Amino acid sequence: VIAEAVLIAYLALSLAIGFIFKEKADTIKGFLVANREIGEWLLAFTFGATYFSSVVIVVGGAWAFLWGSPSLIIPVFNVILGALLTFILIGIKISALSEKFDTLTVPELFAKAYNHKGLQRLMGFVTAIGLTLYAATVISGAAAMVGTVFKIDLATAAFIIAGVMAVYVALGGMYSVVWTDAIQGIIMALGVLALVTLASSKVGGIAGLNEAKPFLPPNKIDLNLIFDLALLTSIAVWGLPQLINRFYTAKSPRVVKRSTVIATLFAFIVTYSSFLSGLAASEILDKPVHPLKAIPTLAKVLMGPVGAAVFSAAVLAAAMSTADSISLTVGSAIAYDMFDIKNTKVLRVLSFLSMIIAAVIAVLTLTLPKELAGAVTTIFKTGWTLTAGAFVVPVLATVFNKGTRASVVASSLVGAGVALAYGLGRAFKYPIPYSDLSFAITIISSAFVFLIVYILEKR
Amino acid sequence: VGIRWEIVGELALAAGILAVIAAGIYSFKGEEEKGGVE
Repeated sequence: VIAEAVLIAYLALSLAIGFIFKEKADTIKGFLVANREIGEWLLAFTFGATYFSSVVIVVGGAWAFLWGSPSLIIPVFNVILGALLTFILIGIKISALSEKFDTLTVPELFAKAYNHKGLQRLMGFVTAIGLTLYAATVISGAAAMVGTVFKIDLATAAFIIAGVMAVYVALGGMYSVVWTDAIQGIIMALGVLALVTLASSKVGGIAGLNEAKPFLPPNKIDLNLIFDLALLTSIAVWGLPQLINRFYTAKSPRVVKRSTVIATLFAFIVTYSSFLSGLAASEILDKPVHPLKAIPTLAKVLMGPVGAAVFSAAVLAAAMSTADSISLTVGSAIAYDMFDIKNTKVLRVLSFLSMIIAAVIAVLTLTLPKELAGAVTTIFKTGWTLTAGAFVVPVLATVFNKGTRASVVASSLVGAGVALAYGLGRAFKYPIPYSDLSFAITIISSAFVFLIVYILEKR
Repeated sequence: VGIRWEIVGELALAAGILAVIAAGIYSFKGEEEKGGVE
């Protein structure tokens, strides 16, 4: 009963935030970038909470459970490349550029920087497709967790969670997203910190964690794949529009600079706690479990049924803080970027609908039999990599002022194309060479095409 | 191949802590004299 009350109170608070900020979000600038008035603490939390979804806790924990200490390369990359360098290399400049060109979305920045409206439509289209797939997997993960813990039908759980998010995003836009992210960020950080503290004290601290035997034997551990996942979950951040547009909301580039330490610390706490818990799970859980159930089972073993229910609230918070930002980004990509509609009412409706559509896709994937885990990761990787493939090189080129219109378009199309080819190859079991390095190859091909076109143009 | 995985955990933890310290130094350096990077 306590757990249900906590869950309901939390959802009610999220809705209240939507109503509180409704008026401030009535203008297009208020709705999309919170009038650029966000300070360092809120910026760090909304960045971190959007970056890390329930996937890092459940799937990241599963990776550590399966592969043991080599998987710790992933949190190292996440903290250094995904948080620290994102703020230093990209965040400050993006904040300044968005102000200089007076842009409200990432695709619009390209349109203005390269003086070409079509670029905005293209990038908006890729964003809408890629991020809807990603949102669907995040919602399905959250629904699976909440449905199992509170014994509700999974489809009902998915629609309740998505419905609450859809309402507060439609009402308060970026204001709702930023403020709920702050609350959700605190809940998720406390949840994973509690779990890792209990788990590591159970195995005897760092020394015990180092001796944890991974679930898989050493010869079954694919180091290329671990390296690729480390890149996929860190470098992708440099391009993903739902993360880059956090910097649009900052009061000034100086706020971004000061926010760096908070965001890096948040990333450190969330990623290391998740992975170290997964490592401990392989030592603590004596019966063989499905890797994706390693973290939920560990929570139940260490915290008891009530603790596990509270922990699932942390996982839910992690999922919601990512999904709400995505639906806002997808809504703006369709209305503002693709169809050039600068009307807050239309943006509200489309953000609402994009969340509901993602929930429908999520429910469809949840009803898939058995191969759920495989399907979820395949779609997740496609949505995330497709968007990152299209955006990473163009964002870097723009930030470092080296791009040209043709080189940006070419690198974007090639990045999205290669990512899509690998995704389809995986889904239809068609072997494409180096598929365990698919993300590295996606980014290298995109960068290579960028260079070729850039050099040809400069001649 | 000759990699001692048992020290990877400690190295990873050290790398993360160093990153947080570097972020702290970066966030606060040069504030007084230049007033940030605006």
